Amino acid sequence: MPDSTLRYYILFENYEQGLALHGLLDEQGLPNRIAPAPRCFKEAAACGMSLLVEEADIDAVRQCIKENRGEYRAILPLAGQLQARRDKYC
Amino acid sequence: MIYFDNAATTLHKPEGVIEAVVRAMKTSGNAARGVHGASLGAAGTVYETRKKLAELFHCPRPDHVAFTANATGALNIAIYGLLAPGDHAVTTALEHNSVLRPLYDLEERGLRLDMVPADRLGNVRYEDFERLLRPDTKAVVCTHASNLTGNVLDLRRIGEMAHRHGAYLIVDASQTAGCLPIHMEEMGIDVLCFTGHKGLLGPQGTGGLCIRPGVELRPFQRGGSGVHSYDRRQPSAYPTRLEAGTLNSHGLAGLSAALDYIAREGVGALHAAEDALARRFYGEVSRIEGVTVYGDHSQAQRAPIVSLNIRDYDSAVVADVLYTDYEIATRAGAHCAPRMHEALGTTEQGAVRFSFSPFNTLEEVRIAVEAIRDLSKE
Repeated sequence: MPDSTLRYYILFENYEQGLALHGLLDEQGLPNRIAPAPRCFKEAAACGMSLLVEEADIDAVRQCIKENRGEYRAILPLAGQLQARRDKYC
Repeated sequence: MIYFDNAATTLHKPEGVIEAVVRAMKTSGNAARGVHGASLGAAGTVYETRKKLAELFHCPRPDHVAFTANATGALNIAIYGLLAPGDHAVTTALEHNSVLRPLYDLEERGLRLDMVPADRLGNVRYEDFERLLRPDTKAVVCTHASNLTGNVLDLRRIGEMAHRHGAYLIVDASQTAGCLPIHMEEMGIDVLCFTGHKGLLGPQGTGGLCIRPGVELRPFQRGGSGVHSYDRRQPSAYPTRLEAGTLNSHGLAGLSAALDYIAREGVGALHAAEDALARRFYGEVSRIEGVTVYGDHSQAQRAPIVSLNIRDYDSAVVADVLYTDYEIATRAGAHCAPRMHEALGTTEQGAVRFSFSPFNTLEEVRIAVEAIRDLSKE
């Protein structure tokens, strides 16, 4: 069933960029998980992987990225999708 | 068998390398293709390997480490990605065909190429680089160490001269990666090409290049990358720009384990072990009547290689006898280094190359010395 919660996807040029930022956010204790990049983001979803961040954490994540000059392509919100029940990958 | 052909490929690998390859073959998906656990496992392994190589070679960015199947692939990407007909380039007589043939091919299409000669000891005169560098020189392409003599080039000095003339320095580190310290920034290396299966002690089918940020290489091949799938062009970001097609994540898992081994043992300690064996071997065989040893063995820093001939015997015959009668594996012939053999005067005879690894022993060296002594009496 569609979920109305707003979530943010961090999108990347390639996996190297994504894995680097994933490592940084984990290191800083900021909740994030690797997820397939939604195709609805079209060109912004250049790389198949993204980092999924809950709305409550997005400001801290943005701040962390800014302070550490983290690289990414875009940060985009998405709602109304299915939600996985657990973090399968991290 | 006593294996002294480590300059071709190291036969003895740390056990962890073999285990890592087997584990990866049971668990790895396709790196950078999909976001399920198997794919991410492979992508993570590949990314960690980039980080370890960037650290080892002091490459400022892990995403500027691109993987290939071997050093030849890396050198082709670097040479064709930077040079074009009309450019001027400088190389040396020490080079392997993996450097020479791409340059010759470009020369036929209009590249202007100059070569720094080598003397009978296999040494270059650094003044020759200065003499041959011009305002329009695009790159110096040179080896870190000759695969025939083991002579090492002073990259710091060459890099300084190249940059003073506005040229890039592309380095073939096939014989030194994992054996000698390499510091891209301090040595002024713009593109470092390496193979994973020699001194790095990893599996065959692994290699790559480290690119200094700011150096723009044209893609050598184009195709699937897992990113920007709807773009007609190869993605521009490194390393994707240079990595079309599925990566060898199984092999890279092994290389990653090999890099862990090297980090634990230390490049200095590993090289000290193989260098001691090479110098002991040189010290003994160079005193045997009828034996000619090539290269400059007075160098303080050398690749662990000793090439020799016995009287005027054909080098292939000597290598054959060493293997069939003594079970000693060496490499005879031309070693894909035609200009080096010309400089040494061994084009016809070739040479028998002994190349050492940290896993060889003094007892093996003793047996090889006795074999050479035997053969020199015949």
